Amino acid sequence: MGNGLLEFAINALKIIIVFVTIVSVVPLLVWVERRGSAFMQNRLGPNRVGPLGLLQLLADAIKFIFKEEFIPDHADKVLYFMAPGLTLLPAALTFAAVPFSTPVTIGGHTINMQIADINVGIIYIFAVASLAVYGVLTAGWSSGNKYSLLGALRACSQMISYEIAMGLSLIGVLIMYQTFSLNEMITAQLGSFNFHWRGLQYAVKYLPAWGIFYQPLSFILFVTCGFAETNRMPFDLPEGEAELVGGYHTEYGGFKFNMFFMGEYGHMITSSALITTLFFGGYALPGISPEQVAAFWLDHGAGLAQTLHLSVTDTSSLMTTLTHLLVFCLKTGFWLFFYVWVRWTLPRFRYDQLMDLGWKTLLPWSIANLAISATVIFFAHLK
Amino acid sequence: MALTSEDILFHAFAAVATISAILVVFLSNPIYSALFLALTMSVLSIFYFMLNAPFVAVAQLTVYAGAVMVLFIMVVMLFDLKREHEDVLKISPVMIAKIIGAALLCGFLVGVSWLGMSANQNNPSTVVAPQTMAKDLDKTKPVVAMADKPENPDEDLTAAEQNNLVDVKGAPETAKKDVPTKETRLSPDEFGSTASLSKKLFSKYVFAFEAVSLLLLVAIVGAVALAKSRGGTHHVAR
Repeated sequence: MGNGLLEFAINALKIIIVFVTIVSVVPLLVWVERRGSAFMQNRLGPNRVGPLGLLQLLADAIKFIFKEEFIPDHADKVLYFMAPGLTLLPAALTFAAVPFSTPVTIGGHTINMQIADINVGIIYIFAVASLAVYGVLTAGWSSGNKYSLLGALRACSQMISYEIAMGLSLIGVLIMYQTFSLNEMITAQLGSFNFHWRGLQYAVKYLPAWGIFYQPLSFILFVTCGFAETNRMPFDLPEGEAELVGGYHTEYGGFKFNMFFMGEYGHMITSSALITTLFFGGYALPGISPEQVAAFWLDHGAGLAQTLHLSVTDTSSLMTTLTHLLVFCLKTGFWLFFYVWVRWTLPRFRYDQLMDLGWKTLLPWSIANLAISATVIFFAHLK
Repeated sequence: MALTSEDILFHAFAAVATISAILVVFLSNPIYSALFLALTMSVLSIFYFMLNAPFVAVAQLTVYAGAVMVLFIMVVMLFDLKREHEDVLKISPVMIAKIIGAALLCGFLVGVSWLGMSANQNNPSTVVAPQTMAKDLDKTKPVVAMADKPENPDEDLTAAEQNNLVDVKGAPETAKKDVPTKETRLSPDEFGSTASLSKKLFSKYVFAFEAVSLLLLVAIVGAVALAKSRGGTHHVAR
């Protein structure tokens, strides 16, 4: 019973830590976004509050919290209050299946650096992410505003359309890894780039076995759909301010608006983590396996073990986890920056162009990718 | 029998599912009905998770809650809900006919389920959750295990065993010999796993699978044809 309770406590702690981390990364991302956009447009950006303008985030947060609670007259009150939560919830839930480091073993206790090791991890993420539409729909409808409703309908049709292309673009990757588990995908991406062709093996020594080198087309399609799913530029039609005021969250202010904001950034974080895991080897270092990292810390961690009052193996395990956590954060951080980068580089699509791109370009290409991958993999396995 | 945490979770979710299903029927606002239907679908997927069928669970969530219900809600949102609401509350001959029809259907369903329950009482077989079944199987003798679930005993047998299945059913003596041992049975982890599911789906049930997909294709083509024909489904004779 005591053991079960400990496990329960560890799991609860993991959930809280991960949630708090995601939520606190959001203001940092906003800062990166604003400073980055200013840099790209030859402006200064927020630089008055605190060093480099970093405290601007705090000022913004305080403003969000202390704003007046405003409910429009025509709003459906229950749904109006529920919608921000419905948006934030899937964004927070999807991250549960993402492994962000190697398991750590301390005092005989192994803790997985992943909230839930679901063996259908990748489809779980898709399933929960598809529920994000409800937040947008209820927000738009319950506001009792025509612009909000139009924004919600746009957002909804966009998300559904791109979900299909997104799912299909990944099937080639899934056939290749032969698993739905994100952990097994990371293991499959260890080592150097190699492939079998009719019983013979070919290897490129200086290229890691990352998904992007096997499935470049799938990578491009997935990232493109990722932008549409997170409602980011160049696909932020749902809030196209020139046509729709502010889209589905026009009528929201204060902290409720902030929750939509956090939902959007939460989706960005999860999709960056997914890009990292599926195409860039996840938390693993290129060319260096977790075992090698652990061996390195076994050799070099004796002094550290003494300062931490831990055994050498425990220290090695802990340091390996921290190393991989750092690698994961760096990789994910790059893709988060990529989101910002693209936002301030590409102009917004027109609505018909958006739908054409989704249904007439991305969908056929992802089906083609699937057909080609399946054929190649089938023939490669023939003796 | 003590309540495990799984039991508590099951009963809690069952309550949520039942209440939300009832609310789907009794709420007069179609948006709320549709949202509660989505909630019911999501809770059903939790049940699949608890039954060790994660793939089915996730498929349920993606297809029903994530796609079908979203389209429902999208369409409902474009309606003039005030008029719909008044239509529901107005007492008209059509309304009375609808109520009578619904009552007849309810009576029929209750009768069928009552018949099914009494048939189950005569027959000691009960449907057991796969986890508990697999657990029990390790303890109990295999022959008893076979009797536990006579409806579809091949559910968790491997393909190699299925060939012997007729013998197993026919003669209890041989059943003792080529008893499904722990190795040949699917472990609880493998049960409902995507690999075992897809093996069944693309070998044993491939015809049914393809037939269903053909049916869906026909439905899609039909929907497009209806929508394209003059006036479509929204055509109102004036």
